[in-house]
Amino acid sequence: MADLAVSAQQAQQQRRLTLHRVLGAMHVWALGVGIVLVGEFMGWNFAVAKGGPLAALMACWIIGVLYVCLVYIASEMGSAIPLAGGFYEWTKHILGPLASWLVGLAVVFEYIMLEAADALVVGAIMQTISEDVVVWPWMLLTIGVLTFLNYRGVLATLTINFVITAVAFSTIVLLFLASVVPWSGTLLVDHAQRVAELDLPYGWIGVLAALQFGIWFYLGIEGAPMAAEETRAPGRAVPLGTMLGMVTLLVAATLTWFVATGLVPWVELGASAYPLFDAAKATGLPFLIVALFIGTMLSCIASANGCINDASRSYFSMARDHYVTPWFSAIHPKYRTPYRAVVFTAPIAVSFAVSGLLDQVITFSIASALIVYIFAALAMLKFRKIYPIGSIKREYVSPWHPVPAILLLVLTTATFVAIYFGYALNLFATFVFYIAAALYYVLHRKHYVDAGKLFRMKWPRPRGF
Amino acid sequence: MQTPATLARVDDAEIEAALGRDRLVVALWLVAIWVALGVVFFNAQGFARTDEVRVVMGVAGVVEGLFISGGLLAIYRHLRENRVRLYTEEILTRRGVFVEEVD
Repeated sequence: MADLAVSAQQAQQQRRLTLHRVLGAMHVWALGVGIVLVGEFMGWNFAVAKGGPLAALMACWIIGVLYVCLVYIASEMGSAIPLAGGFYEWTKHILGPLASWLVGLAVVFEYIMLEAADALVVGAIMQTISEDVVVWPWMLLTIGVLTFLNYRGVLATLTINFVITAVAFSTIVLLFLASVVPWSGTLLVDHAQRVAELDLPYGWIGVLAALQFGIWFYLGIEGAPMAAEETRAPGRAVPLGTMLGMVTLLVAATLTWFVATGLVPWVELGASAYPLFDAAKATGLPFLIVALFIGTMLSCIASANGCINDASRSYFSMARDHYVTPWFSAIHPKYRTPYRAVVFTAPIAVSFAVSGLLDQVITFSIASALIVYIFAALAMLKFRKIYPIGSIKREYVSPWHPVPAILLLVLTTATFVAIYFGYALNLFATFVFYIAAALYYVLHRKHYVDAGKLFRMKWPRPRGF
Repeated sequence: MQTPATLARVDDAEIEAALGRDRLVVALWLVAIWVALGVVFFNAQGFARTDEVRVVMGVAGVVEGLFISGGLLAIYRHLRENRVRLYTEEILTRRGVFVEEVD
C-alpha cells in the first residue's frame, strides 16, 4: 500500500492556479511522435539526393544516436524539473537567465515554424487531389481548428493526437508488410536493382551532407517532455513516454528507408515531395495508395497540433518569468490551458506560412533546434556537476553519463557543419538573429525580469541566482 | 509540510498490474527495434561494395540499438524500483485526487 497526502483545500487551490494534470505516458508519446512522424513522410529523402541510399541509411542511424542521447537528457531533466517550458526551464535553472532566454526563443521559433510548414503542406497535399484546390484556405483552416483544439483543453488535444499519430504510424507498418511479404510470389521491394552497385555515389562527403536531412526523421521529439507540468505523474510519464516515442521513431525511420529505397529509384526518391506516398504509388496497389495519402495528411495535422502545444507552453513559461509580457501567462479558468499563449502562436504561424518559403522556414527551425541541443548538452553536464546524484530529488537518472551529453555535442556540431555545406547563408542569418536577441535581452529585457524569482525548484541555488 | 486531510491508498495489485502493462510495452518495443535494425542491416550490407561502408553502417546501427535498449531498460528499472510512489501518484491523480508525497 502507498500513502500519499491528500488535502481537499490544497487541491482546490491548486486547481485554480495550475495547468491541468491529466496526461499520461501515452499523451507524452503522442506529443513527441505526433510532432515528428511527418518527417518520415517527407523531407528525409533529400538525404538520398545528397549522398545516395546508403548514406541516407547511415544518416538515419547516426542522427538516431544524436536524438537518443538528447532523449536521455530530456528524460532526466524533464522529470527532475517538471515545468511547462521544458528546455527553457532546464537551462534557466542550470545555465542561467541569458541562456534560457535564447533557448526559450529558439524553442518557440522551432515549433511555430514547423507548424507553419505543416499547414503549408496540408494545403499542398489537398492540391494533389485537384489543381483547382487553393492552398491558403486549407492552411488557415488547419491552423485555426488546431489552435481552437489546443485552446479548448490539453487532454482532448493530445488524445486526438494519439489516435491520428497511431493511424499514421500504422500506414508505414502496413506499407512495410505489404512490401516484404511475397503476396503474389515476388517481393514488391527490389533493393538489388535500385541500391546495389551504387554504394556511395558522392563518397563520404555525401554522408556528411546527408546528416542535415537525417534530422527530419526525429526533429521535435525533444518536445515530448514539455507536457511534464500537465502529466499525472511526471516521474513515470516523461521518461517512459519520451523513450517509447524515440524507439517508435527509430523503428519508423528504419522501415521508411527500407520501403522507400526498395520501391522508388534513388534519383526520383531524392527529389520526391512525398516519398512514402510515392513509394505506395510505385506498388500500384490502390489500398496502399489511399492509406499512405491518409497517413501523410494525418502526420502533418498531428505535427502542427503538437507544435502549437509546445510553442505555447514555452511562450507561456517565458511570460510567467516576465521574459515577454506576463499577459501571456494567463491560464484559462475553465479549460486550464495557457490560452493566450496558444492563440498568440496562430498569427505568427500564419505569417510564416503565407511567406511560402518552406525550405527557408524549415532551415531556420532546424538551426534553432540545434542551438537548443548544444545548450541541452551543456546544461546536462553542469546539472550533474552542481547537483551530483543524491544531492537533490531526481525522479529518474539516465544511464552512462557523461557519454550521451558529449556525443550530443559532437554530433550536433557535425550537423552544423553539414548545414553549412548546403545553407551557409541561412545558418549565418540564424546566428545573427540569436546574437541580436541576446543583445536585446542584455541591454533591455533583463530589466523586466526579477532574477530572484526565476528559480522555482526547492533546491540549493547555484551561484549567480 | 501541511498536515494531510486524508491518506489515500492504492491496492498493490493495481500497482503491479500497471507496472506489468508498462513492462509489456517496453519489451515489445525492444523486440521491434532489434528486428527492424537487423532486417534492414542484413539487407543493406549486401548492397555495400566496400567494407568501410559496411563497418560504418554496422557500428551506427549497433550503437543506436544499444543506446535505445539501455534507455528503455533504465526506465523499466526506474519504474520497478519506484513503482509504489509513481503508480500511486498516477492512479490517484487520474481519479481526480490531488496528491502530494509525504516526506
